[in-house]
Amino acid sequence: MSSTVEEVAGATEATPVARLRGVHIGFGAPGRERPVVRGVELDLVPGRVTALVGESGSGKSLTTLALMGLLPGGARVSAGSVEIDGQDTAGFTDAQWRRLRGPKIAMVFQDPMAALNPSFTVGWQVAETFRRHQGVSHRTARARTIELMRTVGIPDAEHKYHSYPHEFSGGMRQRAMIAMALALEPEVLLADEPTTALDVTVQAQILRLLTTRQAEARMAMLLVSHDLGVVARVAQHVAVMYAGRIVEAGTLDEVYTTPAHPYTRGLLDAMPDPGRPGRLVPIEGQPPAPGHLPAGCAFAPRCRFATEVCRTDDPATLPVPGRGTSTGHVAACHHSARILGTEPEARS
Amino acid sequence: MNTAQASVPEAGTALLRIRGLRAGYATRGRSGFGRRRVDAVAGVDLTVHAGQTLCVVGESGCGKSTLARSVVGLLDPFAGSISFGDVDLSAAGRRERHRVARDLQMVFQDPYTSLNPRMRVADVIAEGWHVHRGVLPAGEHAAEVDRLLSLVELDSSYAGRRLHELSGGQCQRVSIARALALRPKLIVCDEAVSALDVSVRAQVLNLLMDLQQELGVAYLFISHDLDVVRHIADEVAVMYLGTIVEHGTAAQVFQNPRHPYTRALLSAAPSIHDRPGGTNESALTGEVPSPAAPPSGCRFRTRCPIAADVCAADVPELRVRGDADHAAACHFAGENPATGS
Repeated sequence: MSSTVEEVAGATEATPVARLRGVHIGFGAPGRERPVVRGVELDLVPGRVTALVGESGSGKSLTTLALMGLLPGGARVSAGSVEIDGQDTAGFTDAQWRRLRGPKIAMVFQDPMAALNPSFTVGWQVAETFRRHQGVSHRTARARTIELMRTVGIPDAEHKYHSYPHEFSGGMRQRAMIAMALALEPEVLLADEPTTALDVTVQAQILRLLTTRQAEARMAMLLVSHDLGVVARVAQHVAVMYAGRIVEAGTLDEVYTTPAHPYTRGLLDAMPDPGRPGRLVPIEGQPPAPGHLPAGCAFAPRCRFATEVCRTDDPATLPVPGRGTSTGHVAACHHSARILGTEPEARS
Repeated sequence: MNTAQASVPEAGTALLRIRGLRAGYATRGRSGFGRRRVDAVAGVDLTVHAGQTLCVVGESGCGKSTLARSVVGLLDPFAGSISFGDVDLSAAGRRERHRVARDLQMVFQDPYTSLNPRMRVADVIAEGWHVHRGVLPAGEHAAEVDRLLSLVELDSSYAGRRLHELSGGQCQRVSIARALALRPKLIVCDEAVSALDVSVRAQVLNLLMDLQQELGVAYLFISHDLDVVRHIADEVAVMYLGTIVEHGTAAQVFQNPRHPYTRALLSAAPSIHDRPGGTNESALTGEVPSPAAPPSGCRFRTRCPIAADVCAADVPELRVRGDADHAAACHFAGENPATGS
């Protein structure tokens, strides 16, 4: 599998199947929105796993839902564009979205118990995808579903077809969700915290399943997670979100080993690490409430590198200094150069 | 007894002793009639030493929460004994248990559900003083609330706020202040930092470690997060399906795991040093069996990569193999030294 990863890393020029261009998402009346997502740029490229990392409230789930055309009531894309397969989805009708969801773009949710209907059998729900989109008979849909359930590692699929979601374990439910998402062989797979509710040994199984299928089908995958370890295991590219903005993006190694934004740096330093015992280095303070942002850089009040300019000017997202423009490693910080040049904070 | 100094036992002495504990719940029998006992904790021995941190790790359904609830008296065990200091809790009367309850506090996973959101912070912290009269005269409550708030690094202005106004991390600090109010010798933390974001989790973990240094409080720390456990534990017990499969110091268990389950757990846990396509994942398949129908012999054998016939027949005993104090419950733990993966 490692050879696939190498190829993918080299093939950065592939055309994205889905892209977000300066996307703003806000709640409230047009013109007076409270911005929750601010100017997100994201390219989802075939064969590549991109991770969107951030803490609760950073806007990562809304960003993902915008790609599915599933923003909750009251929220809307107020600026920028969501493009799928080169098409701008602005003004798409529900019917147009429904034609995309499934064959083109599909999603695995965090909590499969909430995403599956408890009153229908698991098999029926997975088969619905085939009946709806391919117009096939019940019998054909069932045959395809059982085949699919096998490939995602559900043992005894003929019998499990007739089980209800509550009869499945957490790991099996997540496998059923993945089967549903993969049913129509989508080009883009969105996975929002797909393993957060699972135990570590089951989490490892599900991550392996997702990455294997993703690599085989050369899907573009977006993994949303707050878990930096999970991201390190599966993603080739990483985008870090804070207070609605992508504050840093680049390849996994660029972002993890040479972070250029103080928030990324802070997240990595706050992780317990066997190599560095003693006190942890937390990020002081708390993120701003969505829609109540300070002037200037949203991270400035918590940042130990902040200067006067940070409190007045929101930094633009720029290529990280000293990297050359080709790498795609970008950060939104006035002091990236300084941050790259300083050692991790010592632990007392 | 009323001063913190007098009640702190010497560090390192046995504070909490759990022997042969069996606890769990009852379900309806197969036919829908009668009751059937399910041992979520099926025979556990553990000792927490004063001023130290014992971490219990395991996945959901391994019985770690049942263990925590039995220790603080929220659940009556089926069998076995729990003694705290020189008091045997299983034999103790109401009064004695009430007295011990002071020294034995708990911090739960989710502060939003374990604390009443409509109470003021000061009332949450002071509640224990109304239950355990004589700890602190009423006139000193307000000053002590301020002191406790500063101990958990919250401003004294928070005393008048209601819990629903606070963030998750702040609420968890209030939970800790409440637990500290009675100057306990042991705090049971059941997944106390699991619901918190990375940076807030670091703040709360630092706080717990600082409080241990300053006050000499011991922790029974229940967690599924191996990174966290590795960071704060003195001793580690690994639980699987109601039994302890490995026990030792943090260094022994993490650097030289002897039980195949511990090894699988360690390699399955994601780390920021992992990379895609890496080979550090365990090949552990399947899921934890139901505690209502555990496998015969070794409870881990259905998922174990090295299981043999003897594992189905004989229950492996948790005993020291190799290093002093480093015990594992595996038939092959002795002849299969850590592969160090």
